[in-house]
Amino acid sequence: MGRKGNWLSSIKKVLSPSSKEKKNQKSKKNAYADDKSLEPPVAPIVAPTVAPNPPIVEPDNSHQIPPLEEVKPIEVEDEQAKHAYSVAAAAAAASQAAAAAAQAAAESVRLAELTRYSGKSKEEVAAIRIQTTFRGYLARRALRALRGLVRLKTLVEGPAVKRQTANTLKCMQNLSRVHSQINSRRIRMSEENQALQKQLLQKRAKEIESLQMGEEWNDSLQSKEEIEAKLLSKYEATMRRERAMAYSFSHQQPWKKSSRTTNLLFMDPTNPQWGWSWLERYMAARPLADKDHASDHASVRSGINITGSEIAKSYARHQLNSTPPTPQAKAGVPIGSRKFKPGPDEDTKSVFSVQSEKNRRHSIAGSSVRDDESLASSPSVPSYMAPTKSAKAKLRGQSPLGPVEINDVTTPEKGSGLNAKKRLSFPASPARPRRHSGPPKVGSNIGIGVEQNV
Amino acid sequence: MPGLVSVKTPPRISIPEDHNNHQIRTTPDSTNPKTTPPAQRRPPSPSPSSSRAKPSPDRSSGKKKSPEKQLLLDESSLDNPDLGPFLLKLARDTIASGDGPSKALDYALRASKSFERCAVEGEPSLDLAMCLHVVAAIYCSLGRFEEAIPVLDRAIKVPEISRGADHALAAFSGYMQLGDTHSMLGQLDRSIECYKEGLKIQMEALGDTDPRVAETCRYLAEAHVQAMQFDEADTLCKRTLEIHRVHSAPASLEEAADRRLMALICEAKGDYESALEHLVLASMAMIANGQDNEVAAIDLSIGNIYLSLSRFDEAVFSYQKALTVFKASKGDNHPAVASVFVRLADLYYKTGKLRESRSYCENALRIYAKPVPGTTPEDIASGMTEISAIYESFNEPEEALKLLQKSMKLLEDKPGQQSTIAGVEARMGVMFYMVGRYEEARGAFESAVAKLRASGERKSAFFGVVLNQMGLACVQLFKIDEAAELFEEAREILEQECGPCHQDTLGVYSNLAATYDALGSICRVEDAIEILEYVLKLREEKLGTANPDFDDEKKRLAELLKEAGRSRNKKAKSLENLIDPNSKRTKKEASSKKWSAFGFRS
Repeated sequence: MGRKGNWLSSIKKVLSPSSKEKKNQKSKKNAYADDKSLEPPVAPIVAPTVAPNPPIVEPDNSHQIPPLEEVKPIEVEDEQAKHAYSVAAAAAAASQAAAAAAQAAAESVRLAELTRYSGKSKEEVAAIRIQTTFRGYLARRALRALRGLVRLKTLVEGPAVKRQTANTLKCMQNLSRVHSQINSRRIRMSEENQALQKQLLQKRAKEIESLQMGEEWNDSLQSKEEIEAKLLSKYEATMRRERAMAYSFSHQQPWKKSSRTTNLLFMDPTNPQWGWSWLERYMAARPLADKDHASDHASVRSGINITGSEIAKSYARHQLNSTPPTPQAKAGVPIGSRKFKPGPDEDTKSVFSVQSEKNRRHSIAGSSVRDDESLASSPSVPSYMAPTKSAKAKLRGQSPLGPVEINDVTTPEKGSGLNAKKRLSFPASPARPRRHSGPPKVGSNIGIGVEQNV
Repeated sequence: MPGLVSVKTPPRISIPEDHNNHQIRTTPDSTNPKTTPPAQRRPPSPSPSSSRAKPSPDRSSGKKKSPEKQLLLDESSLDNPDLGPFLLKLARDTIASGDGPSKALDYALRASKSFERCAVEGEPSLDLAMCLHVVAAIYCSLGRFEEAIPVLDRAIKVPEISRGADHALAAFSGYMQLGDTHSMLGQLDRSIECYKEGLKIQMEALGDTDPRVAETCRYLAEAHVQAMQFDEADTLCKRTLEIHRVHSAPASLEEAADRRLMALICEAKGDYESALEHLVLASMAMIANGQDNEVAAIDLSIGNIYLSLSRFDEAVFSYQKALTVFKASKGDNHPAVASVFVRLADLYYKTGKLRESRSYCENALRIYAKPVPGTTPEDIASGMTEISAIYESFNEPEEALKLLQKSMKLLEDKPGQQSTIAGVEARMGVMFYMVGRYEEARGAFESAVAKLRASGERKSAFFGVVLNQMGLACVQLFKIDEAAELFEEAREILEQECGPCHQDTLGVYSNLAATYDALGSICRVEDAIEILEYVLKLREEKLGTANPDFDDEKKRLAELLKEAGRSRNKKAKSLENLIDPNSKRTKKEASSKKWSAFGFRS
């Protein structure tokens, strides 16, 4: 009964504010560990449920938090699986007792109060009764919650939840691994894209090559316009490729610089372009599909293709007019281009233009079509000409040998210890007068061409 | 130096470029589809079509711009049909010259206004659509993704797909751009919706088996993987492979890329054998194409698979192969080398060689501490999260937490990284929980959950698991009501994603029952009893009772029933049934394994 009495007292403590101090002392004397371990969690739960009489609960709370801390380490030290459950069982047993106690307490209090307040009016007694019953109910509810809480606590501390936590951790690790793999994949994709792009380019070059070979045989059957149209379309294809390269190249930069990018928006760091570069490739792949029809109707095709813009076309046309072999030479088959060449002089020029084309292509790859446009739109910009003219004039004054040397593309140039500056300025003079229609760039680039060529 | 030129010109030039081409392309299309001699174009011609296409590019370079600029400040001139293209050109040049995107934005916005005014009634203007795309692209480059979305929403409404390839193309690129923008904002679900729409349009325009469709499929598959929707990703990736098989030679680079994605998906689903097969094929393709670095990267992945299959010797071999190549081609301090170190550390941990494992971790960390130029913060962040996983297994949560915090810092404010950050935060939450810092754990989980919620409506099992863990943290903090809500949500998601018999779902059931129990009110207790009975029934009928949780749950139910004073009613009968050793049970053990094998989550 001693144990029961203890429970009774603790219940009473909850129920009646007057007996609080006494009960607290009593409960201190009783060092029943489970009792204490059981009690503390009640505080937070009881607080909301037993709202009407918070002063009762609050002091209890402060008293009983420490014991919880005491109990916990012991619990942890023991073998957890078993002990946790045994503690729970003990707690449950205790709480069972508590339930009985609560009922008993309510009963006894009611009886006591009945006897005590026997003199009171009926209403008063009724009120007291209602009050006590309600308090008893609250207490029972609190107790039930308390027991539930103990169970919850043991569960949470138990092995099952430990397993859950470990599982969560593993899940999260896997999640971040998948994320990082996708991310690094995206980074790689940009590189892969470039590889693809390169492959595409090579394939295309080969195709054009084979096409060209065929052309050499069939040449006589085609009209000049047809050939021109074909060349034009080929030129456009090259342009497109160049532009595609320009995309990948410019896209590559941010990665290398690694300024703020690589948010890895699917293959492309700075997301918005992706759609466009996609578009670019989308279109770039197109001529391949309708090559057969297109080769006959270059203009129609140019209408279909985005990238073969008017600008590029006009430039191409321009090139065709001035130096027919250029596009072919660029495609890497100078042999095929011989058909168009009027003379040996032109031949050397075509070599020049090949070189200049190469240089130009590089610059395009870097800066995209913009400089191309300027070329196309201003084939004879005076500002371009001015320096070359003056240089020409200067040269003529200085060395009459210059033009001759360049005309034959001779070896003396190579052997002579002329400085690079001079060499660069040579080519402008002979090339210019002969080819008024030629794009200025070709002229200005010839020097480099010679140097590389010789 | 050609390279220098391109470095200076920002990648954004490319955008308007396309646009311009588009616009130019459409012009001759409508006016004179055939033979427009380009030569005629060169001199400024009076014909309207050419004047529209040409004049602006003509004066792109140089001083002529400024007088023109003055002209177009006049708003009334927006009615001029030439103005739109010209303004757009200006916008493009402004970006190219590096004058700042805000100015370009102004031009582009006005260009779109002009296009709008000049648009013919009932005639969808592709120019307008393209212009809107450019505006959105500029917004994105300014980091104002939210503002880009309404613009793109408008842009995708302009083209009418039935009008031909041009319109389809415009709609397609609009959808793809919108998808990208959504994904930058971390709204994975919406971005996937957009990509799907784009793919649909593309398939209608090009047919189902076009290689370009394959590319979009793969792209969408990647997005699905990012959103942890592996089944969808699997389907799409298979389709990609199929298309590529028809269109490109065997062992092409495209196929290799597909197979690597496929391997990733298979690995994530726990199908290691198929993943290995795909990787080996991809590796062969890469070898055929002479891509040494790619081969090494695949070797790394192959090593991972071997490790998952516990074939440690083969894993070491693969890792060492990759390591040699990376060291030779990228240098000793490249993050790629560090990533191999991390994998090796994991392997040595798993084989019990703790000292080696630790030293590999330290080596990797040393590389990450002094990143070589060209290392992205994302590289470092992902490396650090992986190392932290090893420290977690070393049972050094403090160290793991430090690393996670570092990688969080690196990832912060990066658009499009929300889900990765959420994953890292959730892990931090678990670590905090394990060291008993429940308040911090709850905070970390809260932030992770908020990010995952934003990413889309379709929740993954991961989300449920995180919710469950957050509920546990709340229980530790005595926030029982909050915990109950979290468990409820977790239950719903896990039931849907994993089924009721999955280990995680059962765990949530048990947690939820205990929480209801602790809430104390009568009806809650009833719920708790109901849940526990359901769980016990499941275990009894389908999963077997060998699980240690079974006894625990049985006892809890018994207590609850006793408390409720119903120990002898029909529900108690079911309890008796449970206690009664059933002969069927042993047979079911085998099937339980199937249930718990949920890919890489188990």
